[in-house]
Amino acid sequence: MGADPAAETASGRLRGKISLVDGPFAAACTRLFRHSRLIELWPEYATQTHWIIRATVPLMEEVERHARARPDDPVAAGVATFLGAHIEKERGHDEWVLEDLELIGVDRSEVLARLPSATVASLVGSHYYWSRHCHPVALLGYVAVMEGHPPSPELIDRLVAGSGYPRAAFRAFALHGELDLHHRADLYAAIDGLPLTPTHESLMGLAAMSTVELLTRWLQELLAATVPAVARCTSAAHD
Amino acid sequence: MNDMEGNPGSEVEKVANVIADPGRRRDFAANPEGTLTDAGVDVDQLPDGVRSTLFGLSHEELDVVSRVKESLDQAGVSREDQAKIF
Repeated sequence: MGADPAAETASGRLRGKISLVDGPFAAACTRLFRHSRLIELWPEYATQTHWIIRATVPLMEEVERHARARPDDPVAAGVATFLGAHIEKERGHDEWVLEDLELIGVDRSEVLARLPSATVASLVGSHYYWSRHCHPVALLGYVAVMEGHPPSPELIDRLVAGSGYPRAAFRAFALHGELDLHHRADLYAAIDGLPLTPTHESLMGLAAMSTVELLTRWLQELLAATVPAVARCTSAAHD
Repeated sequence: MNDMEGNPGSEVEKVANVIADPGRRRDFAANPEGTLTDAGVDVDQLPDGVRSTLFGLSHEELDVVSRVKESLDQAGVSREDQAKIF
């Protein structure tokens, strides 16, 4: 039995950890994206996606600040360098989602007025904790997951057909599919260039796998809350 | 002959059961190969990528793996369907 070539690099080992737990996440995505009531589910999914990605740049800025405050730590310095470049690539993506939602009739004031769930807060907030109180390298685990599942052009086609919404309403989702492929390559190169210890890798793996777990829980909650609500509305309309 | 013998899928399922148990999970973090062998897992049957990844996990990382499996149980996903996605 030969050695696993992916395990030779830190980014390969991180991908291996993510792949251990991302099956349920993929299954939840499939259930959502192929749902017969996608027309009702998509606005809720996009709304909650906004809640998550509006925190991306502020989170990375905060972690970059903490990383730069460790001048004698070469891993923190590498994280700061990566984030310094990556932040600008992510800036404004939350605004794209709000614009897409307006195209399907969801006003941004509705999105901004609602209270995000504890799962969404945990998903983002745990990385403030790990990065601030353990090590900034934790955030690379989060970025690896968030950049690691770019939507394909075929999925965009399926979403347009399944929802009946205009293709323009999926602009943010489609652009992520194109950009994340490049971002992912940059991230893996950055990780493999860091002088990581086993503890750094464990923290990054913990952050990544926890991200997958919370994303899965988030989608399961979204489906459970939205689909019965859709069914109740439909039932009431027929009463 | 056991009909699951030689089936990597069944070995992965046995590993999942070890990780689901808090006591055995701690043992696994300290001594993965010994703990799996004691649990009747043929580690040579595990896919290379799965084995190398599992053997490198910290106890904290194993906790997350166990919670993912637990959430599938709570969501009512059958063992058969779990085997396809986990």
